[in-house]
Amino acid sequence: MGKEDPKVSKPDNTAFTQQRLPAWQPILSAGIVLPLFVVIGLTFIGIGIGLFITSSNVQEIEGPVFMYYGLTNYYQNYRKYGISRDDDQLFGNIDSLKSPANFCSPYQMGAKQMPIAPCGAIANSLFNDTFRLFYKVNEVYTEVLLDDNGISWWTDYNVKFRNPPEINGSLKNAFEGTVKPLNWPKPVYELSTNPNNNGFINQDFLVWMRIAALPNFRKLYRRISEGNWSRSLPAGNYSLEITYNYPVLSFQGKKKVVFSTVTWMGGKNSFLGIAYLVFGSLSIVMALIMLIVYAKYQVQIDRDM
Amino acid sequence: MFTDFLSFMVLFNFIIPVSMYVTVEMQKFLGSFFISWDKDFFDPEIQEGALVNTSDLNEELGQVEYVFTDKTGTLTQNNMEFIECCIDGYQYNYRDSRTELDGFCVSDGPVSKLQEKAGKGKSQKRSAVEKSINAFLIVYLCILISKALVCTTLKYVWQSHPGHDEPWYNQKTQKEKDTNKFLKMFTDFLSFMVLFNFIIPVSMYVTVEMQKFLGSFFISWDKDFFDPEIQEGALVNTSDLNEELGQVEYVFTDKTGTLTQNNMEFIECCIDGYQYNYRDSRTELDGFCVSDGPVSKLQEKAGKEKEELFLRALCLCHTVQVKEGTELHGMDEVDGIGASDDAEQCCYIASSPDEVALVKGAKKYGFMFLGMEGKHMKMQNRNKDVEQYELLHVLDFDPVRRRMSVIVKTKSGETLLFCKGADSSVFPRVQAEEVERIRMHVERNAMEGYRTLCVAYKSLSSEEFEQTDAALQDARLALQDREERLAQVYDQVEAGMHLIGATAVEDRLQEEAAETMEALHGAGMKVWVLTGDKMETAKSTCYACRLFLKSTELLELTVRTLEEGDRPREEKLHELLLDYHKRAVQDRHKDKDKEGVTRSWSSGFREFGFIVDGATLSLVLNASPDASASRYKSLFLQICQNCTAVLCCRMAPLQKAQIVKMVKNSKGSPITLSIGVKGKEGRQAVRNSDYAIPKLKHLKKLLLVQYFFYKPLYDAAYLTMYNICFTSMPIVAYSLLEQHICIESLLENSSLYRGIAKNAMLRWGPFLYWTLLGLFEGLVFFFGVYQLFWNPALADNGQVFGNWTFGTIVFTVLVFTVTLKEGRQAVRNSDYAIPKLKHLKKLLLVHGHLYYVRIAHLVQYFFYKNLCFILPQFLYQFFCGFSQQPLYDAAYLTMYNICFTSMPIVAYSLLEQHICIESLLENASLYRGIAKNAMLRWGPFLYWTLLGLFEGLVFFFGVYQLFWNPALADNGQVFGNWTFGTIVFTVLVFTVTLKLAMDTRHWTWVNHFVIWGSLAFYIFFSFFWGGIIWPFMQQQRLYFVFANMLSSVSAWLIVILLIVVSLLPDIVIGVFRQPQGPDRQQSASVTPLSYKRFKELD
Repeated sequence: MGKEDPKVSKPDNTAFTQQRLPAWQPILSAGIVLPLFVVIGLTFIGIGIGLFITSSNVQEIEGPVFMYYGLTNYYQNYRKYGISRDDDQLFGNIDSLKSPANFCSPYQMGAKQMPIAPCGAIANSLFNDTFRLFYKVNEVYTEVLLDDNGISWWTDYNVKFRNPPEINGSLKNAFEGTVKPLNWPKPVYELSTNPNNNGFINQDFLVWMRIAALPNFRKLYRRISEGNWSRSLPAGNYSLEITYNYPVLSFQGKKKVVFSTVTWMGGKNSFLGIAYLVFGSLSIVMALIMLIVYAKYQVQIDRDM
Repeated sequence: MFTDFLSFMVLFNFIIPVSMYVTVEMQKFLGSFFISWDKDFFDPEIQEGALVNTSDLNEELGQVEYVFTDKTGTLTQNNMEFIECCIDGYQYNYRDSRTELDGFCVSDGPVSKLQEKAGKGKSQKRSAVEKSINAFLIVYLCILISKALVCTTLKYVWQSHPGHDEPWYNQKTQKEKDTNKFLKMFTDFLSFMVLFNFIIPVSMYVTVEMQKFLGSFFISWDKDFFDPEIQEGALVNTSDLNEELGQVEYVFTDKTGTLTQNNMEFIECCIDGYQYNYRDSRTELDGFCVSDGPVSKLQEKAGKEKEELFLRALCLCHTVQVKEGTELHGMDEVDGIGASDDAEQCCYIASSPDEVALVKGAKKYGFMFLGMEGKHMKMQNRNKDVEQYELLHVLDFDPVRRRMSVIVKTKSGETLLFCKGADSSVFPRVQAEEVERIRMHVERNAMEGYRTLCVAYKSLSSEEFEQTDAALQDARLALQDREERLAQVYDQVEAGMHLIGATAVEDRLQEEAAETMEALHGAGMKVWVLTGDKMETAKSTCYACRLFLKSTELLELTVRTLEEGDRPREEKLHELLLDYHKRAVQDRHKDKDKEGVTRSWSSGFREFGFIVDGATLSLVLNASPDASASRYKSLFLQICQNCTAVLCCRMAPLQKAQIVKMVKNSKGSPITLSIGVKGKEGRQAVRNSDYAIPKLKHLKKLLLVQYFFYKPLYDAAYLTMYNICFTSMPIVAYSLLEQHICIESLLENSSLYRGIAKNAMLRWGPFLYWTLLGLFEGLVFFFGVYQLFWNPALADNGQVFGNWTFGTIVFTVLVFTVTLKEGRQAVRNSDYAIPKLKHLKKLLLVHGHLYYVRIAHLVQYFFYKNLCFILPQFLYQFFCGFSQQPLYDAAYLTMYNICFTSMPIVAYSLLEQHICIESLLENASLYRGIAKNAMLRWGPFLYWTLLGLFEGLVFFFGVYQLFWNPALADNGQVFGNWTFGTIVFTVLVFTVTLKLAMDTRHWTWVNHFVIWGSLAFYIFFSFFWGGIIWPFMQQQRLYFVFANMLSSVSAWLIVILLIVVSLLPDIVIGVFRQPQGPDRQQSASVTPLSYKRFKELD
């Protein structure tokens, strides 16, 4: 009866088994929480002021100016739309080029069952309005040079998207046996005359392929970073020439063009600054309330003791 | 190469039959019902069928090779059929009167034997935590379904706007256009369900199980429970009910062996009215010391003849054996008590320690029992002569008769009957004038808490003896009603005896029994002592244990109080019940109202103790079946519930069960704990004998296992895990209903059992066969049906492939768990065994408390973290045209519960000590703070849910506002939807983990490791996941998303802001929820401030 091997039945006397591991036992008391709130509040107000000022400064057109186009009521994040692409094809995979993924349907195969390159709804609906900006000095319009370099993610341009291997030094041959997307006026290998900006690695294409998070969005169109314009856009009269190709009225959408500078925190967005300010002040107020309550409470304890 | 390897692993992982575990569990659980439903096991005598206490071992029954059985009670007393053995485990318990010592092991558990008998309704045994989880689960299921419904409805509302349904840039395929609208709606609904299904914390079940399993080790590891005497620590037989230990409201305890050590010592005896007080026999002349008892005649002794007769009776009237005996008598379950004697080098073994104590007592007075020789009992008298008596009959002890007798023949040919038993059963059978001389002694001894026995004898004439002998033989051979007939004969024989004396045996209290009981009291538990002893004995024990205090007002409801006055018992009972009810229930409530919260112990707050005895109890419970009966019962119950301690004495074993049942069934079904003495092996035996008809079960299980290994082979070829629903039901049905050989032939032809012996159907041979079959069919299936099976519609769903896989498992698990969990808890046989009663204090106050807090926090936390996980995904549907676009990447969806947030909560649930162990032990009233499932009620649940809601809203709309201008990088580039999701997810993981960190009061290195490790792992994983173009993935959604996100200062700022915004309200509420006023500081022990203050007070 119960006379087992003592070695087996006797519990180990270790800190773990006895639940006596050395432990740090932090206590969230009002004495800690109060200063914490004050510190957080002050820090946040500080950050908030910084952010707010930075964000306000964006309006002044100084430094390189960025040109965005915006669309509203446009659901790039619609699931069916978002999956309608073949990343293998865009990676330059020849097999996928010739037989795009089923996700691309109904933009998978074109006429005569020829594969579409690039396939899918996203590529098919590539934004194709073009803009030219002119600066008017003494009734003379000077075209502002728009730089389409570096408007897409570095990794997209260099890794994630690749043209299929050229055949006989020609990109056109590489796309032999495919057709252009239905809505495109010209095939993918004629998107640009610059060979480093053509085919699947066309920067406009890359920007469009990174689908937007929300139905009202903006995408980077060009950077104004060349020549005299790289410092800033001087005050004056400008004229924007728009080649209107992209239909938006059918879905009650709107288009817009935004010129903006950017700072270390990106484009203009006052939300972050305001949020920091509001929350910082809130925690200061909270700290005050707690101070009052705590003081009262402390008095009560002292009286009771 | 590595990525290829990984991708193939993923592709083929379905070959591991994960769902098999679920199905096997289900099969076991449901299958075990067939055992309890089998009417062949129904015994009309006890009105009970087979009882299945565990479903885990069904299939083991088909593998039994050795059968261990006890003779007494298993093979002899009951029917000789072997199958009876199965229910005998039950019957055994049933008869087991707890007055016997089977071992030093005090075992207890919410579902101990008493309750097994009492709680017929299985659902009663479900742990309160499980009940809460199921309730919460239903709420979350409703949330899930309503979310899916809302989204589906709004989707069609949204689509009715022109330009929304099919804009030019996103046209439908021909197939989509052709699909029936209602079918589409239905698929939409299902898709939303899949999208949101993560709100159901499936992994919680795994975590809870893990926590319980690992957590239970802490009990068996606890060295405080180690008893050097028996070289054993606590034994945990179940891990399911750990947290229930923190919820106990009623403690039922047996007196003998539980409160007391059951280590009997002979204290004194009284022969013919003269008291003999044994002090130290060896120094005295003849082993006698005469004490001046209040009633005994000073310095006088009983006649020598009487004295010797008494001592001979003590020596003869027992079932004690000398030496290590293999056969044990009486009601002994497994082991008896051995008492070795140094001088004589012999050892007495008996089922009851009383007997040993008496025999040893007689030895001290010079009469020594030497053992049996054939049918002769040998004993040595004072003159060192060996006397021999022929043992003719033993009239066994049983708890109903409360006495035993032997019939012996002396050398001179005289036939004598010696009888010993409780005073109540002996006094009516002897001459009245003899009783008067003894009674006072007996009563005085009882008052002192000694166990008393009376000894009587009778000399039988030869005719008388022959008559008795014949009757006894006749009765023993009877096939029907053997027991009743035996009892009748016993009754006839044991009449007209002469009382010679009484003995008093002391049963010492368990170590620290009083402290333990006091602690239980302080913890707000109500202690019920159920005993078969005399009221006086029991009462004095209760005082000694501090169950009754001096200030306790005793309410007595016994035969004695009932018989005061001349009125009939029923009337008196009614009157007393009403009176007590008024005092204990109504007045007390009035007191409470008057004094409010500031009531103190001295001012009118009375503690009540309630004493009831068996006879009265049966009067209450089994009163004539009119309306008053139920009224008595409810009155009785109400009185009991308002008393801090209840003593039930003179209880028959069945009544003990009745009492427990009654309390369990009372309002709110409180959690009860029964303590009793049990031998470990005995329990094991019970456990193993819980089944019948074994082989059928076995075959079922085994075919199931095979089938599952075989099935996924071709499933894996096509990765459609949602087939699981269609293929699982047939095998479940098969596993439950299949009888490949009919039951009758199985029963008749026992050699069939050999066919499955030694796990025959689960060996490598059959396994190989099934595997080959699977391979073959897999090949045929794959290459033959490949083209046909390729369904673009299916592939289309592959977009949410990660979801589908998980989602279907979820649904399967979900449906099963809801049903499964409930029952599985119920059928578990559970036991905790601790060596000594004093350990109960730590078990309940420390382990129980900690487990409860841990598991309650775990459950709430899981619901909370899944809510704030999935809420942003729900909100996102409003901004993506209700298109089921997932906010998070599939990898994040799957990993969230499995990797990123699971380890910290596991560590928390194992290691957390929100109050240190010492304080818990010292301050028993802390236990009240968690009473009645306080942490898993709707209030806290609502709080956590609101917190989850708030945080989900903050996460989503915070990032949403930021994405008003998605140009977040300092180079003007814009971020897309996956960055949006990743920011939300990052905030989520950090907030949820830090929330847990804030709740952790006990930071060991393990906590540090897992909390900071999880966060580090999340960052590492995100880099890793986004750092590679994964070859097997159709879409490279997250490629460099995380790294790019980190390059944006705005993203950093929003992450920090949202984490702080989400966490601070919880801190504020925590601080403000601090107790106001000094009297509540201990009850609200879980809030941060009170903890500190509590420490300060220490």
